[in-house]
Amino acid sequence: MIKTNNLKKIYTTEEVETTALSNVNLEVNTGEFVAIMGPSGCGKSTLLNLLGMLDNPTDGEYYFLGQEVSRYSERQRANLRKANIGFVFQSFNLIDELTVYENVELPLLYLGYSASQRKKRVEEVLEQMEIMHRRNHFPQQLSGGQQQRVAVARAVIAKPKLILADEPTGNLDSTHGDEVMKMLTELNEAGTTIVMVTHAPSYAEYAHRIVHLFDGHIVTENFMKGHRVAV
Amino acid sequence: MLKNYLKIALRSFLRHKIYSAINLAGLGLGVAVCILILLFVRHEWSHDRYHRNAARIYLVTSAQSTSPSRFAQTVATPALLAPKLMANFPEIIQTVRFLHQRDAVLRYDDRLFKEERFYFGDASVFEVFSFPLLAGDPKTALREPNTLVLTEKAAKKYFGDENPIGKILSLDGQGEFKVTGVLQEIPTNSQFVFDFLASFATLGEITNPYKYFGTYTYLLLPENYPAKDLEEKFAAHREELAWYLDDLYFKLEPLTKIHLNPALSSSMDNAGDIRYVYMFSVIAILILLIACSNYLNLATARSTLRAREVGIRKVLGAERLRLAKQFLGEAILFSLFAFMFALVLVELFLPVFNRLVEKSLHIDYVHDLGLLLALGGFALMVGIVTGSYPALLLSAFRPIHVLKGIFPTGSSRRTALTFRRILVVAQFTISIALIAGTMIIGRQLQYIRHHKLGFEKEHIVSLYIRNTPILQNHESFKAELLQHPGILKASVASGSPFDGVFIAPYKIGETEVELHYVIVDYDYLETLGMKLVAGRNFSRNQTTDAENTIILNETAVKMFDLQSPLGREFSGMDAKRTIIGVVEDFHSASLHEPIQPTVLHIFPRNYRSILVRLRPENIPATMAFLERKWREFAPNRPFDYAFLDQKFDRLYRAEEKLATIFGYFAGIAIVIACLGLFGLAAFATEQRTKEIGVRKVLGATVMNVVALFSKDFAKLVLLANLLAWPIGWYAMHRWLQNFAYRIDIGWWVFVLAGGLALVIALVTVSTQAFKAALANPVEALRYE
Repeated sequence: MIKTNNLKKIYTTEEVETTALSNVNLEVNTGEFVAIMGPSGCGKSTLLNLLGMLDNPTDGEYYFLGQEVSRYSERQRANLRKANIGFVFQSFNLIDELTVYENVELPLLYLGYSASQRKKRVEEVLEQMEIMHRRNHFPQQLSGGQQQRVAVARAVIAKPKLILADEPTGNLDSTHGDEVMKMLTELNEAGTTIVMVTHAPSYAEYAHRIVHLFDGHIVTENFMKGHRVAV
Repeated sequence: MLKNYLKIALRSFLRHKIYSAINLAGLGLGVAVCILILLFVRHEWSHDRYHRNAARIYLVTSAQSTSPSRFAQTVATPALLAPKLMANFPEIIQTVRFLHQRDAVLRYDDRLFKEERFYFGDASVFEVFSFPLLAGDPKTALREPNTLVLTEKAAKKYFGDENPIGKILSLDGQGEFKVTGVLQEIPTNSQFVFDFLASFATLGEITNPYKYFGTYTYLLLPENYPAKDLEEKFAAHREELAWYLDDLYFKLEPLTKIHLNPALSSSMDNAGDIRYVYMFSVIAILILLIACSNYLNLATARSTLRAREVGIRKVLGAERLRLAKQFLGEAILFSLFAFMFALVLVELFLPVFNRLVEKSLHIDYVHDLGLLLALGGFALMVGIVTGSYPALLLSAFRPIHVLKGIFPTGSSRRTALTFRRILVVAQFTISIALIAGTMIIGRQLQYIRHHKLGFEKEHIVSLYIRNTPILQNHESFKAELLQHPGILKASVASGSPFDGVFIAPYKIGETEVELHYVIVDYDYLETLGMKLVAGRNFSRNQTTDAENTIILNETAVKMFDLQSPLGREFSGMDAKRTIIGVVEDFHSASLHEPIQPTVLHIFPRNYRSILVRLRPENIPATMAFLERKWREFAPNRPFDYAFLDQKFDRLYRAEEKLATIFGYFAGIAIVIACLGLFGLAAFATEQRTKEIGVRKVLGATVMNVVALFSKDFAKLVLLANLLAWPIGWYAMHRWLQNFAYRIDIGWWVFVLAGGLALVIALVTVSTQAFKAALANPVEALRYE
């Protein structure tokens, strides 16, 4: 599903050039659950952004579903992204002015679903995430765990092939964190590929494989028990 | 999707109530001013366009080709011109003449009214112009002598609910008139302002080529006929047409161009002035700019608050164009709200505005589709103008930045900041220039009011006695008035200095000069409190004074270059006269005009008014006495009087109006600009809560913090001053050129205006800064 060749990202400001990633070669297969770990500033989020096509690499190649997308225009990336990738963030990133229902519905609007299709699908996902009863609440009226459940609901609403999660448990206590991890695992078991950035080793263990980043390089890849064979 | 946008727009509107209110109030106020001015400008432009033939009707005007500077274009023509034109130029389809009847006094039964709006007009008036008759036949209504049509309102005044057709009204000195038609009320956007139109035929066969010289002559030309051609033909027929003056040339003024041309102001209506139309339009645009700047400023400043939403939407698959459309749509929606609010304000302020501009403007929400469409388009335009930049700015945010809380950095942020600063400077430049302008207009008016006129205008009442029996008995009337203790002095004259002047050529030796002259009696100087600077006043004891003497003003003495004027022979008008005195210069026109060389002499045939100086105490009782005496002497004439100081004030009505309107506009401009500043300051303090907290922890005082914020804004206002001063100076210098007597524009006016703006701005900003500075630093830091 994902393959990168010597992926490189350099941030340039007026005074300094910072190399965030250099020569990253990563392959993620369909149905895999990969965790990315590493200290602050090692390039985890940069990698995730590149994988999510929120940003273009400075150099190297990126194959997404077999297409080389590293030089795609914003519009092309947006089209590919909205159909195939769901995002989950540490800070949830729900729109405060929209209700739970409306937040979850948003990706379908950009995909041009009809009103009745949207209603059916949103209700289905809200049921699945067990937040149907909160459908008319605004994000600020919810607890952190509930907000993240809404965010996950929004990420899966368009049935993406890939979910990119950037420290999804970072703002949650352990009970809620476990809950979110359980949801991600269930999604993975249902066939969705997941790439997750995390600081917490205990949550990383939910993954099939852990990729360690340090100073923009992949240093090690650990396969979890029982999954080594699958690759 | 649209529903989603609307929801977001409305919810964020409600969530940030203060900003929304500031934006709405600012934009609404600005737009309301624009709509009011739009109504005014449209009304002025629409003058006389309601006639079916408007594009084909022309007014004949004339000017002398030899010295156009001395003889301005005049609209007065002799009554005989129209028939001559008809006879000589077959392309002229029809002519219509109008002649004003001055001081018309109409009688029906025992009711007596003085009517200012009484005109004679040709029967063809209904063929050429579109004046619908509610009763009567337009083809015949004004054909016969001694017939007249009158407006519905005038008919009510004389006949109540009775049918006016066939009724007889008598006009003093012109006989009786039969009512043959009732006119629909003349629209307010008309140069014709008659209540009564009597048949021109009443004036009889006109043979004297100099008779009825104040006639207005209108022509109806064929469709698309070039008026220029006809003007050239007139020039070729000069001998035939311009029998009454040498080197006269004719010019045809399109009907629709007359109202706004001040040079033609002697035509029937109280003329408009294209310069005011332009000036108001410019002010409207400036105020709208200030209001739009507010929206732009707050939208860009607060864009960071929307940044997260932009990021999320982009991650979820929205492209830039779609987002730009969303924010543009929001601006347009907001603009529509502002327009609705503006319409409420317009309805509230229309009465005040109407009083100011002396119109009866209104919005017809049902029938005036054109205006409503224009307003809709206007709202759309304002939305697009205000929405474009924020839309571009917001939609350009990069999701990976904003979602990480890194707000647009570096150049784009600096661009937006510079942009906001430019707008604030522009807002205050406009405001300061308007404030300075208001002050200068006010000072000039003050100067006018206190300028020495050369006579005392207070407590003098002038009674118009021409065409009354009092003219014959003025001596005994005067004697009776002086019996009353409330009456100090009285004089019979051609009029007060403000009653218009007469001009005639006078000669001393070989020098001939055109002089203004005033016909006076022995008591004129004393009644008006004029001072002699040499010689003596007219005296009843000198029997020859009435025929042989004359008093000059100082300017006339200067003009003739007389070293010792007293005793010099002076000829003009009727006979030779000797100069017996020199009176201190006095103003006989508004201060727009320089003092003219003027002569005073006694010439009872031309008396028109009696001027009465009253004791300032108990004027109502004295006026009652005057009226009683008037009834005694002139039972058939309405008591017609005016106070001199009121006449004086009327000379400057246009300036007073301008000063008031300018004052309002300047006030509104500064209010809107400060609303924006308030919003920006509120936002800046909100953004820097943490900084304030840190500074306070490190020992900053409240004043330090207030100064920190005020400094930024003060710099912008100071820069605005530098721009506003030359602009304001130039504009007001141009305006003051209209006055022969004017103030010097002191530099301090600008300093004062600028200082005022600065103080208002600082008060606005520092309220916000104080609030932030007084907050507990621990709270501020925890907030982060």
